[in-house]
Amino acid sequence: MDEDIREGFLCPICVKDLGSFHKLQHHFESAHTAEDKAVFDQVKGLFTKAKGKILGRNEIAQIPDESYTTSSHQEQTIWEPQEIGITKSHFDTYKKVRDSRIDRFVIESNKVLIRLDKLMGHSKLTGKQNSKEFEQTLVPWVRDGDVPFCPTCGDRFYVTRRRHHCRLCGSIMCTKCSLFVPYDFADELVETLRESTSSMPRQRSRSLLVLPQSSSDNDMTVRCCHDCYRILRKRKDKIEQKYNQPLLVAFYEKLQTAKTTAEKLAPKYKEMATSLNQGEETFELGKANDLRLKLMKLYEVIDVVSKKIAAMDTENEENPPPGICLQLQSSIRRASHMYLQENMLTLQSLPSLPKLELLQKERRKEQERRVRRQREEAERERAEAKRLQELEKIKQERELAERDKMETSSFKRHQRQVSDISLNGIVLREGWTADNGIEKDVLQNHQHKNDEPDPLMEQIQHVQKMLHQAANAGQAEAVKTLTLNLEELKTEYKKQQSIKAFGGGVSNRGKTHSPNLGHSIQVNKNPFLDKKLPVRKSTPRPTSVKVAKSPNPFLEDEDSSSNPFLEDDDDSLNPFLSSPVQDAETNPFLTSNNYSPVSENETHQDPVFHQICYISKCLDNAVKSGKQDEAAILRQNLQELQSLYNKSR
Amino acid sequence: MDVVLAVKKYVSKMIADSGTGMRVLMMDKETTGIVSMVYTRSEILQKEVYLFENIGNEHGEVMKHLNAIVFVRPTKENVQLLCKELKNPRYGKYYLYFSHALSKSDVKVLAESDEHECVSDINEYFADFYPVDIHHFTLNITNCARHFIWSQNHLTRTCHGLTSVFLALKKCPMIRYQANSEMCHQLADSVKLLISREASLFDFRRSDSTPMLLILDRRFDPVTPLLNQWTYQAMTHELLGIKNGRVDLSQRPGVKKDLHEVVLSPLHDQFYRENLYKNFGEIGSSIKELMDDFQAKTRSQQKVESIDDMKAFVENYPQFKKMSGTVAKHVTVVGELSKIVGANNLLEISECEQDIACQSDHSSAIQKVRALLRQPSTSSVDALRLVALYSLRYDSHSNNATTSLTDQLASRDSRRIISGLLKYASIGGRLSQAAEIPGISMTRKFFKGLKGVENVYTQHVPKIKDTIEELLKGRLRESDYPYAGSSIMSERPSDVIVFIVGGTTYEEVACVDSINSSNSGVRIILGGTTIHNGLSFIDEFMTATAS
Repeated sequence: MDEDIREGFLCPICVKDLGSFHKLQHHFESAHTAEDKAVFDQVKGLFTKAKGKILGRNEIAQIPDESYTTSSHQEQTIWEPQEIGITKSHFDTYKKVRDSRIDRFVIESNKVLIRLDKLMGHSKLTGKQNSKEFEQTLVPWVRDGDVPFCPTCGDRFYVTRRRHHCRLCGSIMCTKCSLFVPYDFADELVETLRESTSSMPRQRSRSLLVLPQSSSDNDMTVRCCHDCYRILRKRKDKIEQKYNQPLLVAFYEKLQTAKTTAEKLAPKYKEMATSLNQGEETFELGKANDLRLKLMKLYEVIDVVSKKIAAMDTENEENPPPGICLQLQSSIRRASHMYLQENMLTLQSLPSLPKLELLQKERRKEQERRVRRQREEAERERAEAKRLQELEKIKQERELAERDKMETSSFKRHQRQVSDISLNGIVLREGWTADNGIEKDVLQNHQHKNDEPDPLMEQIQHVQKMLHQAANAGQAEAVKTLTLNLEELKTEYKKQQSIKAFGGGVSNRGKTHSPNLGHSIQVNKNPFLDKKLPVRKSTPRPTSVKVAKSPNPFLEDEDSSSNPFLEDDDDSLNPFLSSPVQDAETNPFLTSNNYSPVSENETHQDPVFHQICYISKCLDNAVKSGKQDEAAILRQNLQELQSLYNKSR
Repeated sequence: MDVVLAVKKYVSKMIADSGTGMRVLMMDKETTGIVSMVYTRSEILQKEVYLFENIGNEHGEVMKHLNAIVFVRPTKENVQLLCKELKNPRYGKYYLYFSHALSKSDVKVLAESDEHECVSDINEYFADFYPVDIHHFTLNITNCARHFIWSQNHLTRTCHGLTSVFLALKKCPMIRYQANSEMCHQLADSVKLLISREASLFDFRRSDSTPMLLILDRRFDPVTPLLNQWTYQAMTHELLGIKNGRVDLSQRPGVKKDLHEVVLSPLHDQFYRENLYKNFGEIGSSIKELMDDFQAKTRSQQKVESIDDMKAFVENYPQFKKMSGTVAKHVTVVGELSKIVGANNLLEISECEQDIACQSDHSSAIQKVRALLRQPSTSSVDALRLVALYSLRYDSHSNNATTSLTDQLASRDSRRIISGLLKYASIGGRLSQAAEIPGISMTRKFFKGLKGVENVYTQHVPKIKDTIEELLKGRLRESDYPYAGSSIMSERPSDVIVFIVGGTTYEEVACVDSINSSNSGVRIILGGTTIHNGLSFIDEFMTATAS
C-alpha cells in the first residue's frame, strides 16, 4: 500500500524522484520531449502556478501592468482577427511600358558611349584632337544643306553663324548651342563602360594613366549636342550614385548593425535575468553579466553613433547642410533615442552575487518547505485515517467486549484490554512524527531531517551568517538589506512561535505556514509600503462624484486641474538625452520634487489622523496578542486623540 | 470589420515592403491625414521612416541614399507631380502606393516618365478614408451638397471612399438607401456601378452573411447635431472641435504652449478609450481616479532611498512620463470644457434643448427659450440653436412663435439661418412622419414617462438608433429604404455599414457603439462625409440650401 503513494518532485512518466522543480523540469525536457506535449504543458502549468503561489509573488502588482500592455490591442479582441484588405499591383503593366521605353534609351546611350570611347582612343593614339575623317567614319554627319536653321535655338545659319556637328550623333547645331565634353569627364565614362562590359574586374588605373597626360591636354574636349550631353550626364549620375555614398550612410549602417545585434541578444538576456531574479539556477550569473555588458556596449554604440549623426555638418558654417538633411539627422537621433529609452532603460538588472545566493537559498527553502508541508498534510490525513480506524476498532472491540462481558462478565480482563488499546492508540497518534518508508525516501533526497529546527530559525541563522560575511567584506548595501531581512525574519519567527503557543496547535501548523510565508516575502520586498498604507487609505478626501444632474466636479477645484504636472511634458527635455545612466541617477529627485506639493500637503495635513491610525493599529496588535494592560492604555490614548481630532476639524 | 486595423495593416505593409534603410514617406494632404489617424510619428520613426514629405512640396535636395514610399490618392494632380518627380528623381528607389484604383492611362504615363528606372513597385492599397475609431470613419468632406445636389468631385470622392472601405474590409455589400433623398439615390447608384465595374476586385469568398450598406441623408435627423452633448468625445468636439483626432487649444487662454495641440485618439490613449462615451460627470470622477493613481505613483517614485529604488524608478520612468503626459492632457481638456460649460451656462441651455427635443410641452418650451434668450450669459450661437430647435420641433404648431423668437436674436443672419434649416429639414427630409408618431416612439415615450427621466441632459436618442434596430430586425420598410439593384436580401443583416450623406455626429457614434456592445454578433460601422458639431452643421445646411 505504501508503494502506491510517493511524493516529492516525481516525474509523471518514469516516476523518478528528482529533488527539485528545476531538475524535474530539466529532466522532463531532456528525457521526455518525445512524449505527449499536452502532459508536459499541463505539468509545467501546474508547477508555474504552484511556483507563483509558493513564492507569494505579488500578483496584484502584475495585473495592472498586463492590462496596460494588452489593452492597446483591444480592437483585436472585440472583433475577429482581420487580414489585410485587397491590394492590387500594377507593376507588371508598368514594367512592360517602362521596359520598352528604357530599351530604346539604353541602346541610344550605349551607342553614344561607344562612339565616345572610339573618339578618345583615337585622339590618344594620334595626339590629334580633330580628325574629321575619322570622326565621320564613326557617325555619318548630317549634310549641311539639309538644315537651314539650328534645331535647338531656331536661328538661321549664315556666314557668321556656322554649322557645327555633334561628334556623337552627327546632328547639326550652332556654336551657341554646342556643348563640350571635357576630357576627364569623357575618360571616366569610358572607363566605367569598359568595366561594365568586360566581366573582368579591372583596377581603376585611370589616375595613373591619365594624370601625366591631362596636364598637357587639359583643354581637350568633344563637341556634342544637348541630347547626347544629357545622356552622358545621366550615365555619370548613375556612376556617382554607385561609388559615392555620403558619410551618413556609413554611420547609419553602423547604427543599424548595432541595433540588430542588440535585438538578437536582448530576449536571451531577458530570459536569463528573470530566471536569475527568481533564484533559479539555469543560468550562470557571470554569463548573464557578460551579456548585459555586451548589450550595454551595443546601446552605447547606438547612442554615440546617433549623436554623431545628429551633429554631422552642423558646425560647417561656410556650407551649411540643407534643412532637409538636418531634419533627417535629427529624426534618426530621435528614433535611436526612443529606442534606447524603450530598451536600455528598461533592461532588467541582475542580482548581485550575495543577493543571488540569498535568492537561490530562499527558493530552495521554499521548495523544501512546500514539500514538507505537503508531506505533513498527507501524513496528517493518513494519521487521521488511522486513528479513525483505530477508534473504529476500539468501538468494535468494545462492543465485542460488551458482548464478552455479557457472556463471561469478567470485568478485569476487559479493562486491561481497553487500556492496552488506548495505549496503542496513543502510540499510533504519535506515530505520525516517526519515520516510515516514504519519509525516509524523501528525506534522503533533501538531506533534511524531520526533527530539524524551524525553517525560519534556520533562515535566521543563515542570514546572520551572511550578514557577518557581508560586514567583513564591507558591502554596505548588502549589510543594509540583510539586516532588514533579518529583522523581518525575527518578527516572523516570533509571530509564528506565539501562534504555536496559542493553541494554533500542531494540527494547524501546516496551514499557518503559507500565508505567513507569503507575507514575509512581500514585506521583504517593500518594507515601506506597509507603514504608509493606512495613511493613504484614510486620508480624507472631498467626495468628488456628484449626481448626474450637475456633472461638473471641476468647477470648484479648478486649482487641482491646473496643477504641477503641466510643467514637465516636454519629451525633448528628457533627462536621458545627454548621458543616460548618470543623469538618470541624479534626476529622480529632481522630478519627484516637482510633483511633491500636492501629496505632501495631503500627508502633512493631519498628523493627528495619522497618529490615530497608528495607535488603532497598535491597539489591534495588543488585543490580538492578549496584552490586556497595554490595550487599555492604548484605548485611552486613542480616545483622547480622537476628541482632539474632532475638535480640530 | 475594424476600419482602423484595416488602414493600419495597409500602412505597415507599405513600410515593410519597401525594404530596410532610411526612408522618406511622401504623401498628399489627404493621405497624411489618413496615416496620422492610425500611426503616431514616433511609431513610424521606429520603422526607419525618418522623413515626411508633402508631394509637390519639393526641397530640391538630392538624397539618393534614401528610398521613398509614396502614398497618395490617384488624382490627376498627384500623377502629374509624380511624373515630374520621376523624371528628376531625388531619391534612390520609389515605392508607389495609390489609395484607390489607378487608371491604365495613368500607369502608362507614370511608366513613361520613369526614365531612371527608380520605381520598384506600384500598387493600389485601398485606404481611402479616415478611420476615427474601430467602427467609425469619415471622409472629411464638408459641405458636400449645394442646393441638395452632389457636386461631381464630391460624389466621386465619396464613392471612392465608400468602396475603399469595402475593399479594405473585404466585403461586397448589398446597398439600401433613403428613398426620399436624391443624393442618397445617386450615391447608391454610383457605388453600385463602381462595384460592378471593378468586379474582379470585389470577388470575395462569400462565406459569412452578406454585409449591408445603408445610405442615409443627414436631413433625416437635423436635430441631433444641434444639441449640446455631454459625452466626453462628443462634448469635446462640440465645444473645442476635434480635427483628425487633434484638438486645437491654442486659442484658449491660459493653456501651456506644449498643450496647444493635443491628440485625442482612442487608439493610443487608454484613458480616452475608456471614457470616450462616458458623460461629463463620470469623466470628472475618472479624472479624479487617474489623478489619484498618478499621485500614488508619484509618491512611490518619491521614495528613492536606495540603489534598488533608483533602479526601479529608472525602469518605470518612461511609463511614468507617459502617464504624466496623459494626465496633463486630459486635465487640461476637461478643465477647458468645464470653463466653457460654466461661462456659457450650458447646463441650463442643454436642459432646455433636451426638453424641446423630447418633451411636447409647447408653452413651457417657449417660456424657457424666451428666458434663456434674455440671459446675457447665453452665447449667440446657443441662442440661435435654441430657436432653431424650437422652430424644428413646433414648426406645425398652431401657436408657433418662430418669427418673434427669431427677432429676438441679435445676429442679422439668424432669420436666413432658421429658414434655411426649415427648408433643409422639410424637403422630404422628415421621413414617413405619419408612421413614426403614433407608432413605437409613442409607446416608448409612454414608458419613459413611467420610468421618469434618468438624466435630463441625455434624454435625446438619435433617430439612427431606431433605424438601425429596425434594419437588424429586418423590419425596415422597403418603400422607404429600397435596394439598389434588383437583388433583395432575405436574411437579417449582421454586418452593417451606415453611411450618412451630410455628416455624422459623435452622439450617433456613441449610439452605434452601444448597439454593437449590446447585440453580440452584430457589427455596425458608421461613416459619413464629415463629423459635425453644431457650428459645422449650420454651415453645412446653409451651403446646402444656398441658391
